[in-house]
Amino acid sequence: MLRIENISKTFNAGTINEKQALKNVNLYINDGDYITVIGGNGAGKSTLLNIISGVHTIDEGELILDGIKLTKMPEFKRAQYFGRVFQDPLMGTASSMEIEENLALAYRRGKFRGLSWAITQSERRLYQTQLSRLDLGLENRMTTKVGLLSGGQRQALTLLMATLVKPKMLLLDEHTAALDPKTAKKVQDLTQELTQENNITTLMITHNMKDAIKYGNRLIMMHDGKIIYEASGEEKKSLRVEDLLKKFEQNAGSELVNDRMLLA
Amino acid sequence: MISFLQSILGGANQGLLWALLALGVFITYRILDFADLTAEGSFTLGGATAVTLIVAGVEPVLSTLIAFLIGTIAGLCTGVLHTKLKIPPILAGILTMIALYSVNNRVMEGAYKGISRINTVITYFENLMGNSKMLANTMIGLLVVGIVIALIYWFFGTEKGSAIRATGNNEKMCRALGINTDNTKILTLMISNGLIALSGAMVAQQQGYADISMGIGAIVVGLASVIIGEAFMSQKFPFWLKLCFIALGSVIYRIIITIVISIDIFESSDMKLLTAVIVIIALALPKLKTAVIGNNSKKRKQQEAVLAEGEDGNAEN
Amino acid sequence: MKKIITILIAVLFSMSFMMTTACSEKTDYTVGIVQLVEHTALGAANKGFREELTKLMEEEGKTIKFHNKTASGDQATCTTIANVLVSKKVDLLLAIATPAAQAIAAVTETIPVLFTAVTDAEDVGLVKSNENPTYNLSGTSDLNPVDQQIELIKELVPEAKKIAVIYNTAERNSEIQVELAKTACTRLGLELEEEGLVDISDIQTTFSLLDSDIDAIYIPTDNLMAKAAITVHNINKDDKKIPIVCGEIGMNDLCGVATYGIDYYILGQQTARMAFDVLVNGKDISTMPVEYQEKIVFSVNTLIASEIGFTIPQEILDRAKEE
Repeated sequence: MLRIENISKTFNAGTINEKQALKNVNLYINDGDYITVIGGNGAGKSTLLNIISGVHTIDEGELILDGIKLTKMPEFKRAQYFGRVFQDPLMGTASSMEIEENLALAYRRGKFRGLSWAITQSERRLYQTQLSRLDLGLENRMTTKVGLLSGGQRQALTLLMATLVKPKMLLLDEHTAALDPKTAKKVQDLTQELTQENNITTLMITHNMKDAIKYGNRLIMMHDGKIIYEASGEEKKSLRVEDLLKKFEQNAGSELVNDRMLLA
Repeated sequence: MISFLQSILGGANQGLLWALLALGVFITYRILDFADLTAEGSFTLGGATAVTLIVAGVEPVLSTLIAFLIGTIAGLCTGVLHTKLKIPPILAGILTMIALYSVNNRVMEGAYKGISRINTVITYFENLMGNSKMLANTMIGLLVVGIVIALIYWFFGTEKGSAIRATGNNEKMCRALGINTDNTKILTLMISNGLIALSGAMVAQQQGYADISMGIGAIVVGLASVIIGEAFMSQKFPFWLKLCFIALGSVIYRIIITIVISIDIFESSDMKLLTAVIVIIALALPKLKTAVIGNNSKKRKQQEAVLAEGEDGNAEN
Repeated sequence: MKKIITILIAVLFSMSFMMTTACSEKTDYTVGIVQLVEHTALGAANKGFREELTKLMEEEGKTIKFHNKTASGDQATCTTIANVLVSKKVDLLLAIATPAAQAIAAVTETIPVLFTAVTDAEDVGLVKSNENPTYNLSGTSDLNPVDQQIELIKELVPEAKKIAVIYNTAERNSEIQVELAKTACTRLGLELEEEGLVDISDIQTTFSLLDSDIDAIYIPTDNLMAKAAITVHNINKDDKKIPIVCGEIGMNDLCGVATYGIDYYILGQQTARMAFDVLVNGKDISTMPVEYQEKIVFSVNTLIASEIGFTIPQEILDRAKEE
């Protein structure tokens, strides 16, 4: 489905802060894949996601989705293919607008927005049904301003918005990292539900190595702008956290020193 | 007493025509979160365009509408400067405003253009109301402001309008949802400056001339009106009511000035200080309110209960 | 909080109510004055008007009360003041400067309005023609004798070939005078350099960019330049030291060497006589032609001249003594 071919990206080229975030990265994502991405700080995980979604431009290489060349396509144009959930729970929703208005915006992702009504009655019924599966009582508060909700609620809402219209791919950037453990689990479970139900191709960055092993059918490990290790199928299922650490040392040539990852 | 009410009504009439400016400023400043200084230029542009066309023999209503359209072009310029050339919002507005000074001079073929004794939109109403200048101005003020508020209310309920509101609130999310934020910003600036130009066109017709300096201070008047209007409204008001209060803010502002002028103690030169004081009071009101009412508000308790309920609902996990 | 504000507004309301009713009971005549902005010339016209009209009224055993308002240069405020004065049902209105006159014209077609310090009322549509006003406005024009003033420049600097005119491009009155100056220069064989500006801060730049062959400067009667008169002199005496002739005596006293001029105080007095005609003699204002200053004043400023190192020709000094 998605071909990431020889992609490189450098930030602040030619200055003291120059950093090559991605170095000739190659990755082939199939329909239905659920790939977890792990790595230390500065490994290039978020950059990879942002390259795919179009937040950053690509210096070298090609990005092709189902035959469509995305390499030079602006972010908002690509949005029709991707559903995104960010690490910051406040970033995925508009706080001064109501829950149903946010959902209505998501419902029209990728479509032309004209002068017809922003929400219709039949839409509201759809939203109510969808919200009720979140089990947060939000279906009874559809006209509440999103700014009044908690971080976990907003993140769940963002997830729902990302999958309301089935995207070609779901991009999750450490989307449970900023939540408390209880809410994080809830959102993660929700992620499982939604992705499996609709067979959505997913790319998930996570700092939780146990989660990285448990979820998904493929795992990639990044370091210094490169993919240094990949596992899928049985090999992935039988991995343990120590294995990952050892693999890291082998392929990166140094120890994986990252408190969040080690203590997760 | 009658004469006093009469002068208040006169002030209110002025306030109504300037309310269009306030609504334009409200749209960019509050909804899009963009401080747009083009206002001083587009206000004059509206007046200059309308007056020049009317003097040239074009029908007044048509002239006024064309003034609105020309105003949208001014907004387009600022929008393009900001979105495509990445010029910061305030600077983009200033640049357009400066450029418009020359444009306005060209339009009026000089620094000023008068339309005394020619039919304007206002005189139509005067003929209808049988020569009461005051009431004619009130009627047309209410009519135009009413129509504009209705249109704004309808527009922001549409998909496009919703996209604009979202852009002002969370741009990053918008792009992730496929909204072309460059375009929404430009569209908002166009609508806003169109309204501001419309305000200038109406004011020029009311005062009988357009002058190159008529826009000076317009942005301050607009912001003051918005802030005064907001001081009196509650966040829970429906959108259309909020718009009405913004218009009301403009009317209140003019009425306060009228009252001050009527009181012979004050000098008209105190006006600028007074404007500053009014705006300060209006801004301080909400803070004073919370300070006085404080943390015992029933509303806060209700809010916290609702949030807790949301969390507890997932206790079984 | 909202209640407190409402009470405040109610208090202001009643205060002004009391003031307005109290005022209108005591006087025989009331005149409302709208002045555009504070500066010497407009202030002088204002004072001349009030003092002369008071004198004339007292001679007749009548009393006159003025509502005297200045709009701090803001046009919208002129309209607001006009509204207030009109609703006070004054007997006559005086507008000082063109925007004030226009604001009043838009608000009332019945109350007689006299304007002063308006250069060309016909040009701006306040009257149908300067000879036959037709509407409810008339007054005195402050059109200065531009032709004579340019001639004076040639007399002050006989070898002059090129002069500059500095003015505010936003003022219609100034544009009119610049046109007249152009005609006069052509007639006298002088080259005219137009230096338009828009802001007081532009004055410094304009001066420093003046061509080196500018022999004299003409500054028409211009509200912005009038406010900056002292600045103009300070910039001139430190740098270019070019002889300046101003359109108006008040300004000339602060930065010019000599001029023929309108004395605004006298113009105000002349306007007062017109007002007296309308109020007491019952004359119909729509038939009163716009008046120009009857007596032109000649003024010479030796102090300014010495500060910029300019010698005024003796015959001009003599002329001043004669006047």
